[in-house]
Amino acid sequence: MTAAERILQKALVASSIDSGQWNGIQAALRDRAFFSAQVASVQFLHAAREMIAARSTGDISESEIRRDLRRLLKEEGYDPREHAGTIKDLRTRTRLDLIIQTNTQQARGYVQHLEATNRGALAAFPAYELVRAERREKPRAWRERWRAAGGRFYDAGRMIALKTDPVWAKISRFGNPFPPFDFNSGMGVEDVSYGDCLRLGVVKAGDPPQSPPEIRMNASLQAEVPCRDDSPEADWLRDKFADQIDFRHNIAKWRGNLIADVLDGREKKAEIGSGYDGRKLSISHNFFKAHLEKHVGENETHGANIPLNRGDYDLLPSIWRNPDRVLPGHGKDEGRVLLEFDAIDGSTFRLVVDKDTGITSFYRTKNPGGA
Amino acid sequence: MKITLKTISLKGLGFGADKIVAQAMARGISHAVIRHLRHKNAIARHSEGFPKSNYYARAAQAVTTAAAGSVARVEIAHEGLALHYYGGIVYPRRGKALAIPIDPAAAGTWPSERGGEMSLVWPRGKRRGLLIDEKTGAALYRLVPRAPVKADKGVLPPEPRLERAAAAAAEDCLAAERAET
Repeated sequence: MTAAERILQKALVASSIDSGQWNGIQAALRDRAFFSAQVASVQFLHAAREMIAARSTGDISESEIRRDLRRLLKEEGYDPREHAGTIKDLRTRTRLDLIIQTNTQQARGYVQHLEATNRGALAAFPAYELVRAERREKPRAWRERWRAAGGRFYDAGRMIALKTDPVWAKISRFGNPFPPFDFNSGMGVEDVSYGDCLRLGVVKAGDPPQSPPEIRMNASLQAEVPCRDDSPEADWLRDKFADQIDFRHNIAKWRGNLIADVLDGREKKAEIGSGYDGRKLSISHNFFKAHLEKHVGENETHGANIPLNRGDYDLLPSIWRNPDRVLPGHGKDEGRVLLEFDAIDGSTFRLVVDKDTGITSFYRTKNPGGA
Repeated sequence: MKITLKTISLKGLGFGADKIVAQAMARGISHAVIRHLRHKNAIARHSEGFPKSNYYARAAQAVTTAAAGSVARVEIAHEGLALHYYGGIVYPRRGKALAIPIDPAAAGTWPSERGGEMSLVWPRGKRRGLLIDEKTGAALYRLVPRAPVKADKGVLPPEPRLERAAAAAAEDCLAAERAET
């Protein structure tokens, strides 16, 4: 898996809750979402996710991302009100860099952690050491944080633990067992070899090998997040996220992840909630299977269209619920409805719906306005 | 763009074709590259007044090494790293000139991010121009038609070091697996 794939897998989740409230959500559920505190614009999140995925492969600079996101905010009429100029103001360099760098680093950290915890890597390098990778003028008190999380010190103060030790997730603000461990922390991890681990007493000869951690099984983000349907937690999540979150059989799932399940055939079909006209919309794996072969990546051959990526299907609920334009179909789409949703680069997502049969097409066109 | 910066042959290191050992060797190589880049970041100098960009530390976050068969490939998907390693000439993608920040206020920002608050000064016959901040009068960017970048093989550790790192990781892996049985 690449860092870009990791980023694009995450469901777009727009909401007005703040970072403290996000931290209160189960780490496993939070990990499956692409969000930013108090960002309720799906368009912004979609643009940010797309560009940060490109950033993680070195294809775009942070300056270009900031420029384009600011332009989008201006077009959307964004007004930070009393927060203008602060970290809560999405236009500021501080806030945008936080979004860009945190997401990029989390995706890269995840990919490196996958590499570091396969069987061979775990055998040769069973442990990590918490180290400073970038200097900071005002570093946090990491030694105290390590101690409070139950971490041990070796060899006159080195913060070392087996890679599967829960201390790594405990020191992390985000609940991840890999860096970054906090916003702008500058801390990283370094492998500690089996030989050094023996010498320092981190492991003893004959210790059973560590099992590859659960994060490897969750690589596709498809493992389930338990949350009882009738719990206060579920009630709170429904209240804050409305139809962006789905509960079935005591499992919580972002609707974007549910769409990915239908895309990949883990679910045969699903319903997207009330749309612009109050109706629900069904999506099915059979439709997507045929659709992926026409409009995703290199399969898209229509000159007026821009190839979709899998993450674009996340937009379906937002387009269905709140399109930028609703137009009558014409030509081969006569009798159907075109729902259009503008992307940051001037292109337009178009969802074509037949009132009797449901979705007939979804693509990204260079020509808005039904052309 | 992901570029394979280095390919290391594992065949000659004498550990056979075991998949688990190959994983360990790949990780040993990644570990050596990451440490090298972090060290390079720590000693990197930056122009006076400019903030430290931590470029090489960020590159270290993007290191992955995959072992396939008897070969390990080091890939680092970080903006501009391949250019630093191989060298080359940078030409503008759009427009006629590259904009090089020469004032700390412009560090890490493209002119297009700043909007229309700058004026262009390009004396006739000169090969370079300037973008000036209209409010302060400070020269923010030097404009050049192209920028040569020298190859820096020091971006990565030398190959013998990577081979030693791979071999050491293989030995540790075998020692760990033997100790467990």
